[in-house]
Amino acid sequence: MQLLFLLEQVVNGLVLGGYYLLIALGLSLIFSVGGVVNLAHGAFYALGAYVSLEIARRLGFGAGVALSPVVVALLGIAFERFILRRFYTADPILSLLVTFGLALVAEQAIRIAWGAAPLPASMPQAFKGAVVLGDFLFSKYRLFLLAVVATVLAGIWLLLNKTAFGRVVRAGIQRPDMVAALGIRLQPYMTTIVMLGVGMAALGGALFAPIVIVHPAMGAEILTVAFVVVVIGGLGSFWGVVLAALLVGVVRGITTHFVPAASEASMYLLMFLVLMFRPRGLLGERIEKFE
Amino acid sequence: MTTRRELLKAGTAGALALGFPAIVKAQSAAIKIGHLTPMTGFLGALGVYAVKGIQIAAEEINAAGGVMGRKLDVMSEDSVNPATASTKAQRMFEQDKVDVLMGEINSASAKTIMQVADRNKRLFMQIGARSDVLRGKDCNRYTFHVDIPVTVMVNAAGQALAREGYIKGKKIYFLTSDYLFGHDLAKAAKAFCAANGGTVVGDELTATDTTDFSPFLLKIRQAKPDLVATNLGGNQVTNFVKQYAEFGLPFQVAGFNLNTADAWAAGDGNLAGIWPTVWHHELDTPGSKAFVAKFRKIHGQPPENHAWIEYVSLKVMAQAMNETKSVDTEKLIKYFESGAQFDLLKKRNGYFRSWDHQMIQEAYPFSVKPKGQAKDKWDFLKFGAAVPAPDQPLESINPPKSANACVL
Amino acid sequence: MNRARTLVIGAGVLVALPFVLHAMGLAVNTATQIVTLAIAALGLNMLVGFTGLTSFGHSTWFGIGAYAAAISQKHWFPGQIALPLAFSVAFVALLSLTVGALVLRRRGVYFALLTLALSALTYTVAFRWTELTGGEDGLGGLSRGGIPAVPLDDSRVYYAFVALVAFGVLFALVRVLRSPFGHVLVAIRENQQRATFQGYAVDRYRLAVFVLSAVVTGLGGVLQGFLNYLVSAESVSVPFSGELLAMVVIGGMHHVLGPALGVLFYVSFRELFSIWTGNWLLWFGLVFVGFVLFSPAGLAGIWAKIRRRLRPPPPESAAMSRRKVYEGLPLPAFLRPAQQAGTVLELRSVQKHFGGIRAVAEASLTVRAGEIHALIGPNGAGKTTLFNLASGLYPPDAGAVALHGLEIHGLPAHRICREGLARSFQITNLFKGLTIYENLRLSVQAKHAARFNAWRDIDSYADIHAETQELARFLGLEGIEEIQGGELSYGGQRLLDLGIALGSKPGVLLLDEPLAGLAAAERERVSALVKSVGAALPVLIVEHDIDRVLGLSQTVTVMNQGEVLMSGTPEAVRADRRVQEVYTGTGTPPVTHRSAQAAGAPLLGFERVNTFYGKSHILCDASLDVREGEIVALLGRNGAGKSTLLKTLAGLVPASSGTIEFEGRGIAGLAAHEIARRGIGYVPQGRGLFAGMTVADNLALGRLARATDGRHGVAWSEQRIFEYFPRLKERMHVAADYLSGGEQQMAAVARALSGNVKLLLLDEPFEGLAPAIVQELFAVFDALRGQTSIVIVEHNLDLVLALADRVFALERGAVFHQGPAAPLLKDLDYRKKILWL
Repeated sequence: MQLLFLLEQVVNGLVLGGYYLLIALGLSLIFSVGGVVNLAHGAFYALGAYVSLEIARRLGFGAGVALSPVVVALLGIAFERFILRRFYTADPILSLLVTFGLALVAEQAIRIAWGAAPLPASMPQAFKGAVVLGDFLFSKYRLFLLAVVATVLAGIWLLLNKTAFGRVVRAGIQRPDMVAALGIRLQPYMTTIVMLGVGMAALGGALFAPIVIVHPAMGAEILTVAFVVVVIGGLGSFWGVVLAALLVGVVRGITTHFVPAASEASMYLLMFLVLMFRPRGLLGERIEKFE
Repeated sequence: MTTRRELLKAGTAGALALGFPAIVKAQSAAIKIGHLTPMTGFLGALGVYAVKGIQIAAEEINAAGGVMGRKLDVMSEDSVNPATASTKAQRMFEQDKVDVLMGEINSASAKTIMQVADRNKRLFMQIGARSDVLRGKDCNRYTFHVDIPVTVMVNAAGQALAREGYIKGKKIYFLTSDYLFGHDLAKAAKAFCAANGGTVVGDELTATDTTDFSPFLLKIRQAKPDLVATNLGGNQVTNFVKQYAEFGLPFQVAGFNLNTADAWAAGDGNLAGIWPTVWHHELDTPGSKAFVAKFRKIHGQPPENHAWIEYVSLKVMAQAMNETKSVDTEKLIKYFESGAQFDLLKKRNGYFRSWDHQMIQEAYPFSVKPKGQAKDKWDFLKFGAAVPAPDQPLESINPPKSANACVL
Repeated sequence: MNRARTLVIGAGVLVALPFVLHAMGLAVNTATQIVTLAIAALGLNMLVGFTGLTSFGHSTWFGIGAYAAAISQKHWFPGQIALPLAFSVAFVALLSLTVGALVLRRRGVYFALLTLALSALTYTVAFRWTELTGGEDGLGGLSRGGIPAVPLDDSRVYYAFVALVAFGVLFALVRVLRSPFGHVLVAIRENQQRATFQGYAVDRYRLAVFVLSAVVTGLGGVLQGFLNYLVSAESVSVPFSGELLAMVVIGGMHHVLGPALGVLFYVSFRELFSIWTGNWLLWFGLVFVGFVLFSPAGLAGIWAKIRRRLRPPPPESAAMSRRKVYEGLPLPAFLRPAQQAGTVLELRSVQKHFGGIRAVAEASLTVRAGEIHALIGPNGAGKTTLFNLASGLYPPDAGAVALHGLEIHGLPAHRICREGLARSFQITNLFKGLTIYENLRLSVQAKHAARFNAWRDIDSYADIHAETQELARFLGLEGIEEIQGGELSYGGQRLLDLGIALGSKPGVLLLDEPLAGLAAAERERVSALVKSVGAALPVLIVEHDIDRVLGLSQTVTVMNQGEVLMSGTPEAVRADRRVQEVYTGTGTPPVTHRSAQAAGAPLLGFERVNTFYGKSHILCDASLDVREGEIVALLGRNGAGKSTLLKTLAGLVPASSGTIEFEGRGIAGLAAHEIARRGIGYVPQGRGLFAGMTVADNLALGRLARATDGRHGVAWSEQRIFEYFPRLKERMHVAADYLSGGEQQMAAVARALSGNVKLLLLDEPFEGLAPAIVQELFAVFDALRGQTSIVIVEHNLDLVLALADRVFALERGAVFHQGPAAPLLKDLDYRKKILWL
């Protein structure tokens, strides 16, 4: 019984990991193209939530979830064009600082636009409640969320690995010079990747709005976890991020079971340990720029 | 109230600290009132209501000729965090020469300001922080507390729960934020349950930065309690009720801390259960109705309880100054300690207890209106009967002297 | 940095601050707050600005310092301030020593991330451990203590107290920065690797400054705690870390007082701007972003810019004109090692593999006292790897390195340097942001007993000063000592690199291509220098200028493909047939040139092109032309600029001047992808295939953006590819990195030819390939000449001369010979005359 219950927590942790994945993967994507550690990623998540509520008020929940990422991704284009692009070749510490500043600006902008008070948000009635599969309890909404995450994950994987677009991006990460020497202009691809990463963050925000509090600092909350996941997985590694997200989810699930008060600290401890013993994360590769 | 005290996540690259003096034009001979409240950070949302409330009171008083013929000049500033709050409090006494200090929501900031008041031997009316220790172990003779302490909140919701039969002989599952305020709440709540015949079947601590409650929801499902009682702080309450609704667990929920703003933020159909409050905009008294109407007219929405408490606090202060014809700290303390009655826009008047400087007043439980009965998005709370009951002394829901470490 | 002026400014600001703030309507306590934050920011900047380690979690120390003082006052020293302060300093020092030893194992972004995690962890603990820290209420009720006569509770008295401490801190930090220790910190920031090879135990310096920085920041925390009579968890939070860092950046991190200026700016911005708008934080964020974007040097940097504008420094040429060069100076006495005899440096059968590639195999070499020992060999022979093994950049897989009989392999680089082995670097490796004098002094100081001294002013060491001056004089850099290393001409930088190696007073000196990229006069001077150095201590020198290096060395070792081919006198080497073959080939091509066509119309005109990498001038007025249907070979020694010429052509490296015309249209300045679309295909050295992608994917990328109709030049379809390279057919779905070298080369060529190509650039296409494959490729290139022109860089002369119609020979970025390939192919003596020996 006890064991079964522990298993249930592990499974729940995996679901939770899927939920971090959406944000962490976008962070990792942006990182892998330009080598920028984007501390403003949480801001796009928050924007995604706010914009989705704004749309949902007029067009309903579904439209909010579907359109908000598109709107925010457009902002992502400007973000790449005017800010990130300057930092692809700069000291990564500078991009860390500039995105830190942007996160601050974005949070304040949200506060001005929508007020400091949290906004109410809820899911359609049909999603409420839980289902019991085997002996395990799952919230319906989270299963839906998991399906969306899995779809996005598969989509991104296919895009990166099975399309010409993905080939250019992967080639561009390795040898931007050779890509250019084959007549390919890399810039639009980079912009698109940043747009995708930002859009995923916004999708995360839109999807999580019904289950977590929607307030201006929500971006900072999720960023920490996403960040920890990406670092544990290895900066820029697709499967590393997947692995780390699930790992963090499970570790949090298990600590919540045994030492609930330490569930947050466990994550940082995990990151600290991983960095001490596998300095580039679980599946990260050596990237000279970050040493 | 530490309650919403922002569990600023470690690692959140959140708000930089800041100051924010809402500059009110200085008037010669005006009575200067220093007002410190968080306006940024997580408590910022509540602080914004606080400023709106106190401003309405100041305008009313000044429109009616001020106090002793002098205008009230309320300097509202962002207290940011305990360190800044303390610096600003000292500056207000020293440089701005304020006559009294008022405000606060964050109990840690309130604590430092209390110390500043003590060192300067000047008056501080601590309005919104609810931690028991402020009016217990840490109390001092220069500070008066307006909002209800933790014990009163527990009693308010607890008595309603007991009435509905959720305590006696029932299995109760506690979920508590793992920090000072949560522990305070849990202590009082468990004492209440023990006294009323409930059994504790689960007692979990959650890290203050927990945003995902699903592991706890699984545990609760395993425990199959009759009542899930939460002692959560700040936005944790909102996260919890949203996710509780998401999982749709069948057990009755209650909590011993919830601000109206947090309830509003829960979203349509998410909130359930029984909760305490110090005031609600549906309170049926002429004073409350007038205040609510005025607030709605100005801000287009009903006031939150922090707007109300700041509003009445300034009125209380003005009354004391008018009665004593003075802004002198010693005279004001003497007046407050005298048991003078104050109109708090509730059915019964309030008064400060002389030995711990706590405002004694009614509190209320509330539950949630059935679906479809809400008139607008602020209107889904069902307001319960005042606690204590009309035949009981007001003081009965407050911790007695024997249970309070306060020595002034 | 002028010490007295910094201190006077600091003291002046500390005295004036409360009055200025008062005039602005702010209280004394605000001034105190500014000063406590400034102390913390100064501490942080020791790490960020002066050592180049960005800590994103310094609030950890600010908060822990404050908690330590508060807790100790509460439990052990009630009512006191001095003892809690001392306790806190000791506690933070100990803790940061432990933590630093762990986190400093990482650098760069990973270090920043670790400190960030540390801060997040500390915050969680501080916020939760209520019994110890008071949890979210904080630890209140502190007492400032003091003596009755001076009550620290009075805010003015407390300000004075804090200001005194701040001045003390400033004084101490300035002293530290002016000390030998402080100079090493800056060296670590500028170039950690070089500092290691100067003999500095870099890890110890980093740990020491980490502790110092933590303690000073912690001190700021303590003083702020007593200011507020409270310590709360906010003071350890990550946002506060970010704030501290923001203040440092805004103020300017390369100036001692910069961070303090940043704090002042931040607090007054907060206090004043908030009068006008409630959204001051938004504006602050924008200002911060603006600083990072446009002035990473902060306010101090802006000030420096303005000052330069008002009082411009003398132009560089004027500064350079002060340079005094003395010919024929002997090596200064202090650099002469004690009498040495017999074997000084011995490498015994050392081996090194990188992945699957064997870089050095069983190489042995002996350097004896009194000799200049040359190490020569073609590109990729393993010479630099051998240097790296000897100097400790990485340990050998097998074999031994002995210095004076002491086995040094496996020792860290700084230890090897201290044992008496110093080296220079092939790619100039110096402290670009430091002056010539400082560059040299750092080396001289590295062996001085005071290298760890953190208190005495560096200028007070007369012996170090005298030696540095003498070294500068010997190098011919006297008179320009105050010029920054990065401002020097390339030749000057090479000289300085040599000087840095020499300054560590080695018993044996390793020089890696000291002459590379130098103009004739400079080569003469550096050769002379090497000679006079060699008269006093043994020198091992890698150099491609073979004439010259054979002229000045007593012993020569020749390497080829990771192995030592032979060792002997220069005469023996010159006479050795194997050595000649390695360099000039045998004169008997393995394959024969099949068809020569009549020269076609001009296709490419490359005229008087100049290209720079930073300061190094790689192409100097290089000119070249290619006609339709012809194969042109680019010849020249290593480092002559051949690959750079191809990259310049392909648009991968910008040409700074000159014209490049392709089919009558200028292409200089076009982006690489546009040049590619016009019909220039490029196969880089090492093939440049995309790892992890199949051959098919690689080829598809070749077709993606270029026209493939073949109307303009050649465009290979898949079918054509299989025709030429049948073995690629079955390898289409294999990842490119799993192919053999030959298949990789085929895939790279096929990829380049997958879109319309009129000119194909090949960089070392035959490198490392088996003869059969070479033959196959050769045939393909030969057949291609009908459809596309080729420019080929190849060091195998027999091959390339057989293939090419015309050759261009490059030396130091300029073409010194051009003409038909045939005579060079057949007449070996002519070839030697033109190309080598």
